[in-house]
Amino acid sequence: MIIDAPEITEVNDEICVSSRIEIQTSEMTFPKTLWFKFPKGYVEYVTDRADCFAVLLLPLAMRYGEDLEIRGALSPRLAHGLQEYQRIQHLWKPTQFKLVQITCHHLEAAHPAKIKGGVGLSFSGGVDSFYTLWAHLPQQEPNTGYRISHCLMINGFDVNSISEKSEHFNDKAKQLYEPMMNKLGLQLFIAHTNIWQFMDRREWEIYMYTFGSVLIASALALGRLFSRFYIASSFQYTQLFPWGSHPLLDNLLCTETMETLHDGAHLTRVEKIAAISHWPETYSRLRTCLFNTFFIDEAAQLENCCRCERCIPTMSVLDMLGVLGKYTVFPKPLESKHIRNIHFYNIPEKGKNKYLYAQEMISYSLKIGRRDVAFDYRYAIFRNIWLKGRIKKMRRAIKKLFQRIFVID
Amino acid sequence: MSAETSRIRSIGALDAGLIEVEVQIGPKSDPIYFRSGDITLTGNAEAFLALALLPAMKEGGVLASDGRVSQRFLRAMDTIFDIYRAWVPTLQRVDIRNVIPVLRENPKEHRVGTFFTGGVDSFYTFLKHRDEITDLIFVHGFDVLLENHTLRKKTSDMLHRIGSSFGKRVIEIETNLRLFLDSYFRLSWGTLTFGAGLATVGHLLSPFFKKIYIPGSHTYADLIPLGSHPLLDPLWSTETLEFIHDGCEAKRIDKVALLSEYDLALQSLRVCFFNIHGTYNCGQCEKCLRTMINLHVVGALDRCTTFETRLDMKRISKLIVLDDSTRAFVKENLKALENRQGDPKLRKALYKVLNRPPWQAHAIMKFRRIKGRLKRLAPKIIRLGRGRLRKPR
Repeated sequence: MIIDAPEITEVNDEICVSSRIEIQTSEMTFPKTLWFKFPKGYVEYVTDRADCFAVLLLPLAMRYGEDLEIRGALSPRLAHGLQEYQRIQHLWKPTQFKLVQITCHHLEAAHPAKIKGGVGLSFSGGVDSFYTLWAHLPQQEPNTGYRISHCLMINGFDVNSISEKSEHFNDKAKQLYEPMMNKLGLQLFIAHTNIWQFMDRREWEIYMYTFGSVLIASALALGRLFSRFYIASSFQYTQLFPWGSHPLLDNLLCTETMETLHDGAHLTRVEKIAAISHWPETYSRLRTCLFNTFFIDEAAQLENCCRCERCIPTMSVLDMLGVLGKYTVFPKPLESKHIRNIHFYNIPEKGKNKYLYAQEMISYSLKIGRRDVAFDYRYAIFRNIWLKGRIKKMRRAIKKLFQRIFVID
Repeated sequence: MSAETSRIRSIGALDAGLIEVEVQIGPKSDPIYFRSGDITLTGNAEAFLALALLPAMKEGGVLASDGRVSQRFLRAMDTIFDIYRAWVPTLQRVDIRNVIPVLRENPKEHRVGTFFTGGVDSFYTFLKHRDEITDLIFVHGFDVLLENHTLRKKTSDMLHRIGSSFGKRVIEIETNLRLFLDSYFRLSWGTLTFGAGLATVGHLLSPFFKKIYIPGSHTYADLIPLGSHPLLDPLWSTETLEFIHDGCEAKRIDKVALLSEYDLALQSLRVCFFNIHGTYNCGQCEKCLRTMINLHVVGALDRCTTFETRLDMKRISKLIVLDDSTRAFVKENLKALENRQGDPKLRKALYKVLNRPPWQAHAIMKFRRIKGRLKRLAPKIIRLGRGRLRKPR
């Protein structure tokens, strides 16, 4: 895989940093260029270095076992980090991520004087990113160098960058989050990229192991803006398992001028929800849903499905804290039958953490004396582990019985 | 302003190789010393904070230490607190007072060291970076107890043998730090406190070193809360001294395969923590057996002269595995044996160990503990009984 030296061009009202990519594999067809687009006003922050492309494409090169040749300028610190990054990924998933040779002809650190010194956060509107934002506002963060000044959203990562949905993304994201950012004195940046077209959607697991690199790459594309960049953690330090954003991986993808910080891993999801539950900005903006990941066009506001593995525990915590009524993003009511019917998705790497959210909920509800809620979650786990297994076995037995009768007949 | 609950006071360096510190945690005050005949130790606030941090977190409140502290080190304290607190929720954040944040600059020398005990992980890191490494650092009082003079002598000889054949300097340091930490966190040296201990020693050597490797035990795939951890170790670094947690990319079996290429390593390998009857490697404990299986798999057990006993299947099948850390190693050995498609007896023994129900494992452990206590008490009881019997005469 070859990454050509990036170019910066102006297209209509946008500034585009792109690189020609040569991929040898014939398993999939890929576009010839990988690009990031930003509004024209961001021109002073965009860099023509290859750091962002290297970070973005290393997982893909590892996936197809292709050596990576980088023809643009690459940070020496990042080059070292990429080596360690691929060792970790290979150790986690030896068959899916192969060790590759990384060659760069132009190792050069960016000049610190050229950096504006912004502190960014990869913002999705979820519990984790809202918590990190809240924790690094001037009221909570005494150290000025670590206060968040910019939030970065990425368009073209969850959805195809040339689809209709993608076109709506910028408008909806601005409509929803820009007033809040302005109020807080922060700047909202939306990066537009075509990385979606380089991903094999049949292998969604690959995406789960590498999504952190996409978030960091978008920040590196704005290489002259950030001196620090926060990635909100998904799991606590005690619950670490192979995952796309991980304190070990994220901290490796940094340069001499941009430090990457994996933030919030000291708290559980429940503790984060409790921390942000009294912040009114979250009432109409919190995105927790596994399914309803896009904004609802007609309603011009955000609504979560209220029935998935992520929505229900969030609603339960808010309910126990007595603030669920204030959250317009959860329009449907929460009843105990909904908790009992949660379907826990099977992510193999979660291992014993498969029922993580449920277990967190049980200990939290017991802590505050809500034994009924704890019972509902225990029932949900029981239903997922035992009942489902038994039903499957019964189905199989009935099927076999029918087959036998059919044969006898 | 809240009052100090913990305080570190340097008693001073009586000579170039001796540092004495008094650490006050709550009402309790402990003297700690570090001694070396090989290098000048330099007392600094980073070292003192690292050594007192965990006991202070247990106590909570304010930790006061005089002196200048690296800005990078001080900033990383937040993450260190977060990690320790996530692992042990009863620990508290402490407020560090009286220190002056500075940018550490211009070390005297730019040497590269590694903590070296003669174990599998140490050998792997040393052999991997042997061109870059200039010094081997060993701490008496960490994994070899201070009162075990025979073993200390044997270990010291081994270190000097390796140092002279590879042309590396050996630095030996003696300290009672482990006793201090163990008095606050009983039986938690391996699982919680030893990383902070290594960081303390590293900082005492900071004017001479730019990089110190800390050999890691587990792979990135088996990250469990442990005293030395790839997330935690780099956080102890300053602007001039980098701590690197090394070797997480390789499984223990791969590490043993590398060291088995060196006869000197096979003649010096030291893995045992128990050292029953003063032996170099007891050959009976879980760690010894684990390493012997590794060596057996790579075909180097016969050449390894530091294990006096043979690989005993009966002993292996009696192993009790309760913690995640040991379980990961047993699984690794089993996988390696499965890949080799040989040793059905050994595989069967490991299967048995791995699949033993937890209630059974706990019951066996309890039974063994009681048996051990009775064994220790028996001679006393017999002596007492004899004395009473004699009295009427």
